[in-house]
Amino acid sequence: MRTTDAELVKGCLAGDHVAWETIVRQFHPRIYNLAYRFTGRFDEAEDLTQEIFMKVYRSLTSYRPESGALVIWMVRVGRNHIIDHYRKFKIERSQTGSIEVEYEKAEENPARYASPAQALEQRELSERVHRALLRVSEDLREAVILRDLEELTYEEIAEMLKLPMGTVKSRINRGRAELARLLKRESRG
Amino acid sequence: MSCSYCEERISDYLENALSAAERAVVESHLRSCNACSELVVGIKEVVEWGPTFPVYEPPAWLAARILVNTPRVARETWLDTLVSIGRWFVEPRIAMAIFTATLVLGWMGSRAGISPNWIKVFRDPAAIYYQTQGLMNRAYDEAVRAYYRSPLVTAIQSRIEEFREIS
Repeated sequence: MRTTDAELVKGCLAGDHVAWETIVRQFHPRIYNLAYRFTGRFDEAEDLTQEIFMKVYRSLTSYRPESGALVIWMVRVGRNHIIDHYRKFKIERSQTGSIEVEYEKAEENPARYASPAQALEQRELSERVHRALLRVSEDLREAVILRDLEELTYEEIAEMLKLPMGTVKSRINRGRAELARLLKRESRG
Repeated sequence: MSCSYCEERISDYLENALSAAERAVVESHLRSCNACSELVVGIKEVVEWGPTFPVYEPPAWLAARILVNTPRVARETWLDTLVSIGRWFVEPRIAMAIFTATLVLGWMGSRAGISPNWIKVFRDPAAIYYQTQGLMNRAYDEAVRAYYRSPLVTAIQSRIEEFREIS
């Protein structure tokens, strides 16, 4: 029998460790990937996943099953946490050394693909674009990730970043243009 | 039509969010400008990249690490929130500030000739709460209105917005 989100949360609030373990095991890949998309680093994604789950655990009382699925609520908590983290620490990465290490780790980390040929092609493209994205200025990068990787609507992004809709649209467009130029320069390289 | 005008509209163009007239203008510019056409191709590649981004498997130990760390974190209940607010109030500095503010407000009230009707207060203590609440609401409304009408605030907001656009 499948346990509903409301039952899982109710169990957690009553101190049922099995319910909490179910939540962690079921949703941690989603949160981990969310963190990786923002940071581009596996080690940082691991720490952020841990922090997000602690935040989720502490604020489970504020989850309302009638307002949507648990995973949607958790992803919202996660995005807000990552954005706060981003702004707090103003992540400045040296793109050369650390990214190389990350891609070595990515090689060991098998992604889910339909076929080996597709896997190779997708990974090459993904690595190229993600590497370039991490070089785009922070404000623009944040907007592009939310729109193109997290597939949020402009309204949702404006609400999340607390910015006017015009600014959000402009940042996404400028971010995409900057990214396209970086990719072009790299391919000519 | 300039290249910068076209560039500002490329995302809307690719997402079919332009009006027919604007779309025609952008398309006409793209036919005559190689740089902008190349940029459209590049941005299209970026837009198409998002949904194909790989899904990575988290390390096998990550779930266990989260579970091991969880019991150390106490879940915040309404009682914890209440206690933390209470703790904030009994902080010496905050308590001193509240005490001083009460004295100053009392002194200002007596200077302005405002003194409570103690018989009325004794008969209906809740009336103080409702009167104070009404007074506070009116004062808050006035303050918010004054803030948004202030030309200085409008000027600062527009400058910040301009600065954001530039940066």
